[in-house]
Amino acid sequence: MLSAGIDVGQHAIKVVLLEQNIVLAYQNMVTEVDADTGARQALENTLKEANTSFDRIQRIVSTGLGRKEVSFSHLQRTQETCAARGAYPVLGKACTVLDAGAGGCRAVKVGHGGKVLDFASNSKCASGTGSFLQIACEVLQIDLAKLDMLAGQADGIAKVSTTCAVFAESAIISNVHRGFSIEDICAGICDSVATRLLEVLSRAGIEKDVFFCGGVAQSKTITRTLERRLGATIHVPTHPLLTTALGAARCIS
Amino acid sequence: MGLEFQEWMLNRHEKIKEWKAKTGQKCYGYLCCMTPEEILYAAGILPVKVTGSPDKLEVVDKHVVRYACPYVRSLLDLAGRGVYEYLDGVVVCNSCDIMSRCEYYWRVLSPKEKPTIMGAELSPYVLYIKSPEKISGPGVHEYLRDEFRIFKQHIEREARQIITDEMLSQTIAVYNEHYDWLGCLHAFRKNQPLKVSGSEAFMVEFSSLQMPKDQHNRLMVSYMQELEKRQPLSNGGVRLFLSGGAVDQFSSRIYNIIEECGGHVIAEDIGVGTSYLGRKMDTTIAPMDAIVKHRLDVHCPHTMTADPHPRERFDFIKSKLSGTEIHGAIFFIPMFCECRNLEYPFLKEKFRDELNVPVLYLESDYSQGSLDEARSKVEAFIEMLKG
Repeated sequence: MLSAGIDVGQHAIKVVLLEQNIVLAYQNMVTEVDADTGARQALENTLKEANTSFDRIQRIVSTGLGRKEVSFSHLQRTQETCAARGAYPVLGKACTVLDAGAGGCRAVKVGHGGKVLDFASNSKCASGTGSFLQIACEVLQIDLAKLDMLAGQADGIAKVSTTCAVFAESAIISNVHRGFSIEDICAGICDSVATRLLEVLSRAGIEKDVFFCGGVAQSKTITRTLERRLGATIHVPTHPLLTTALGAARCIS
Repeated sequence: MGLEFQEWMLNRHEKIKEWKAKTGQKCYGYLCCMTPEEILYAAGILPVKVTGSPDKLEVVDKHVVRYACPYVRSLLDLAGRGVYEYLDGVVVCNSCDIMSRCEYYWRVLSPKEKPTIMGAELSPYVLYIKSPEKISGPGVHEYLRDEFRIFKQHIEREARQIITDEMLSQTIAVYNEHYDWLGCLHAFRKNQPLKVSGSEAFMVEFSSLQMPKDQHNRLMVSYMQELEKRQPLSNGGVRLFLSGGAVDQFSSRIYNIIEECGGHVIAEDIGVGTSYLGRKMDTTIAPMDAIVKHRLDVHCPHTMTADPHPRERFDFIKSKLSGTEIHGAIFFIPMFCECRNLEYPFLKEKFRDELNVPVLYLESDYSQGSLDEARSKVEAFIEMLKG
């Protein structure tokens, strides 16, 4: 059975084409059009890459913030369910999935068989999300990869004294003025995001194994910080951005 | 039939003004269910629940800090903008810190001249009842009876008549009939298949907080007959318990959201109506004692704030769920609500351990935005419960 999972996030649209539990092709596309058109374009590109046609798809499942905008999906599933379905087969055991994207972060406690047992998420707040990192990057005039790299080279941490993204901007500028090194400032930003993620994690319940996905999971510094502070093993997949779309493609029933 | 209830819920200001013009009687607003509204009713005064609105706040910021309960801020803003100008009096209780201070805020935001004697108001425009922190123990009943006695004296001066025991007994009979009807409605909601949705039941109940109880009782006769004959709504759906505060004609959209996501609220503890409705007043004792006893039976979160293990609150909630099963519970708690937030961890644990159901926590800032945000969480919760 050929199925497609479409994750319409705040920053990008991710598509995974799945057949017999094998990923045929995937896309991660940043679009500037409406969610429905963007999802259509992303799916078309994925189909081209897999050298197959739209008619062959038996089930399309959309997820993410804009899941309801996808007019051609057969099913819509929440990010919590899809994150669990995407992560569970990788570890094959009960775990907590931490999904931190551009617009939101959520922790999902997953039981045996991939069943969602509990979840928690952020509320109308950019801290702990990719948007927070993006704001920090704009202030420092660097990109996300460089921020992560510099944070990894830090000797200390220039703490960001607030979790509010709006106030964090001025807190970062203050740290620059106070003469902290750029590395320590970047480490402080990553530490701030990790702190917020830990709060969300603790609300859902932390299992021995934590599966970290979403755009923020690309940061090695944040992953290491979480690992150190949790004392748990953090599993980051090869393509952390695609976990939820993959889970959507698995939601065929 | 439901239309009349809906009218009183959605167009409450107009309906109350119409009622006043038609009857020539007075109307008092109250903020908390501890208010002995029977005393007002016995004096021919219509007691109505004061609620907020999602309108943009215009005047309250000058007086009330931003980190106060958004619901109370909203209703004070309405008062400041003259929306509650039609009220002849307002009754405030010390349900929580911010509610206690509404006695002052209301006077400042919505001043009204009242007749005075030697500088003191004959009957204050804003009446304050200091309800006890504890609802049981020595002297509690006597204390509250004394508070209600003083309240009754004020109302007698306002209405220019003595409120006799007979008048109170007649009122108690009307209110007991009302509790009977509401009890029937809530029993109906536990049935399977469902014939009445949570949102509809809330509308019926909320309208009773705005219209005269005798009028509501008359409407309930035909409404319940219609309900008996009605076809079931649905067999499926996730059965949920709703706990929370500041649920009114606006924030009750949470019921619709739950229903749109595939759930049904079977019972609730939301501080409006059902917190005490359903239990009748004792007709074998003096009417004033019956009213006091009835209010002391209210297991409102504010009475438990000093209790680190509010077991009585949980037992009260459990009693609402007897004879029915639920799949999950949703706590819909206003921001900065110390009463509900303080008891939440204990209740959450009890729901999980004793009732064996998952719990969803939703924070509300009494805005459309927080309802929209709640929708995605409710959707995920119901999806989780469906498996």
